[in-house]
Amino acid sequence: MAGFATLLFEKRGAVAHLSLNRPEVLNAYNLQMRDDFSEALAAVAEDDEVNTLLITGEGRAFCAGADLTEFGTAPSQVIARQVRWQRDVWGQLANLPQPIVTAVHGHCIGSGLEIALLSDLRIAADSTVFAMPEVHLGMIPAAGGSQTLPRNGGTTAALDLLLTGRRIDAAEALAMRLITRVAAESELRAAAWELAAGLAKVEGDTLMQIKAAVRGGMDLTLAAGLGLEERLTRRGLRSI
Amino acid sequence: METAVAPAGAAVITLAAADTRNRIDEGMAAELWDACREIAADAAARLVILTGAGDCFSLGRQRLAAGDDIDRLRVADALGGLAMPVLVALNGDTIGQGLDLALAGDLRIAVDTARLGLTEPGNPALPWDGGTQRLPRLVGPAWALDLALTGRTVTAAEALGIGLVNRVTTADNLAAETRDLAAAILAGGPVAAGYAKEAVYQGMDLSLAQGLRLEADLSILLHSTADRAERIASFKERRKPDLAEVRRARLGQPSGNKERGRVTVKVKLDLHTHIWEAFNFQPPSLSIAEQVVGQIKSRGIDGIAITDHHNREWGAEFRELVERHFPGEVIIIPGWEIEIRPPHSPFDEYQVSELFLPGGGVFRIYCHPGYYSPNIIIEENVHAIEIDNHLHNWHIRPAQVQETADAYGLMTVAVSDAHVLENVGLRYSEVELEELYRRAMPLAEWMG
Repeated sequence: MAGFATLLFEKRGAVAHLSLNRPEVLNAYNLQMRDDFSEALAAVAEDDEVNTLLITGEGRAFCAGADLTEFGTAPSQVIARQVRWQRDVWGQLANLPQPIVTAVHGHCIGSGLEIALLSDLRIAADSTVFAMPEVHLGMIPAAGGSQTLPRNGGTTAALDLLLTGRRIDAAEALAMRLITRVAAESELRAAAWELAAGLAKVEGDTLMQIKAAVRGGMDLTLAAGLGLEERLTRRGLRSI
Repeated sequence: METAVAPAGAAVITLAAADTRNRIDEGMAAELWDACREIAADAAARLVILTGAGDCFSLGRQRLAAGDDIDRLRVADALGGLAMPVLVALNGDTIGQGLDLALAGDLRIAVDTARLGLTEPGNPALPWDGGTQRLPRLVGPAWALDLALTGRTVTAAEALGIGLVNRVTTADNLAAETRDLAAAILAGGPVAAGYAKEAVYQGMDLSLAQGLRLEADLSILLHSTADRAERIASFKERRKPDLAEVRRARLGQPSGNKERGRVTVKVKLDLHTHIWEAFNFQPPSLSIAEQVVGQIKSRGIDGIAITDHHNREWGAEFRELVERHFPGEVIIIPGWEIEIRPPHSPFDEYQVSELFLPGGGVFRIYCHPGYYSPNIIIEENVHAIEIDNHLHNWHIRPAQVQETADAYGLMTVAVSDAHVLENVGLRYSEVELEELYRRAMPLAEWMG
């Protein structure tokens, strides 16, 4: 168990479990959490024993968004941009080779929803509230939301959420395809573990290949995507 | 095509050929392009609502015939090219090019009786105004091909299920729901809304990695907006954001929550008042502000220019007070009234009001012509002339004033010349703020 200030991190079999742990502020995402998150993701990416990552949140909410007390502290836009790419935690999350299961509950707002959308399988407590409220602060998402929302729910559902900043419940999030599974809040953690442990039983690189084919293919033309699938298949056959 | 009044900041376009079920012809296409161009150029327009008159949104065009010039008929790109959010209120059947057009907007609300289809029902043809590209991007290739190949229509409920529309409502509630949705979007940051739209559409044409870079750049660019700074500050301080100030800074216009039509802002202004003397030359105070704002509202006008003799400070201070305590409620333009004695014609002395437009520009009005001299001498940098002045009509000769205005291209205005509070707003003119700004001389030139 590594000691992070803002995260709980443990490995159980082939599952790495990372839990946002600032419950006193509904797991608001701050700079410390960014650094912790980045370090943990780097460790998972390199860990051959881990074939599934589970992300959860401690306390009453998964994540209520970015910690606004740290907003506007960048000295200039040039520095802000430099810092953004110095530690590209969202890129690490998007490019993690292993599948990510994220279980959300309570508030799943702004960066919280964006973390979920950068993962692969999303399960939500039936009482979860979702929103992308950035526009009411004169902002747009900065953790990939403007890209991951339309890729999951389509452009028009994405714009509905991004332009109005309105809140939706788990049923609507399911209909919009932001999540694929819903559980009762009391059963969420167990359901998430069951899902992650089920994935972890799959041996070899199969899960990572599936993820690489689907995610990689989405950026390609169909013909190039079929080529990618074929290459991954041949590589898999060679390794048997 | 028609336009109508909507929430401030919203431009409404209505397809107004109900008798032909809003079929799109070259004339309507040209008007739509013009309307979209005008809206794009209008700094006050932040959102567009497109709807149709009658019980049909649009049947589009009859199928193309030999000799049709599709460059003159294609119109969806006019809407699709707008940087601001576009809501489409589908008041009824939306067929063929009508659906092409609706697809070019961002969010769609449909009445429950609407039917939607890509081509004439049972009569498939190649969609030619964007449908083959926009529809599969919205609902996926399976549904897009089902609609395109079979020429079938879907009900509003089915359209909701496949993501073709965002909301379904009754005909009675369509206008209210559209207004509510518009208001929810207008409550957010205007630049941010445009950037969100850009990030989504441009990002979908990019790889995820490239899209994330675009989002990061746009997001960091937003650090520079006053809107974001004020919204974050107010959030931290747990108060309502003071966006009137931000809006004024952005538009360079007097603030004020005015109803906006499609592209122009018309407001009722009394451009010649004396308020200082109405309050016995007291310094501006909250109680004075309250009385004046109350008087302006009771007259049903939008605002006044304060043009006290030789005193610029009073009006400026008063305006700040009103902005602080009654943000966005009325327009106050600070100014003063001064004498001009033309050097070459000293007996033709006259007075002008100089209005200091918030954000820049000095607008000069020739006051009560005929008072000091029967002649009207117009020199450079006079932009308007009073043709109706409540206190001075006994000597104003409208025919002479109109002739002068025509000869020099001046605006004619009606004013109260109030002097006492009760007279404020007795006379007023309906003017476009943009026109005041367009005609005004730059502040630097006035100072220089």
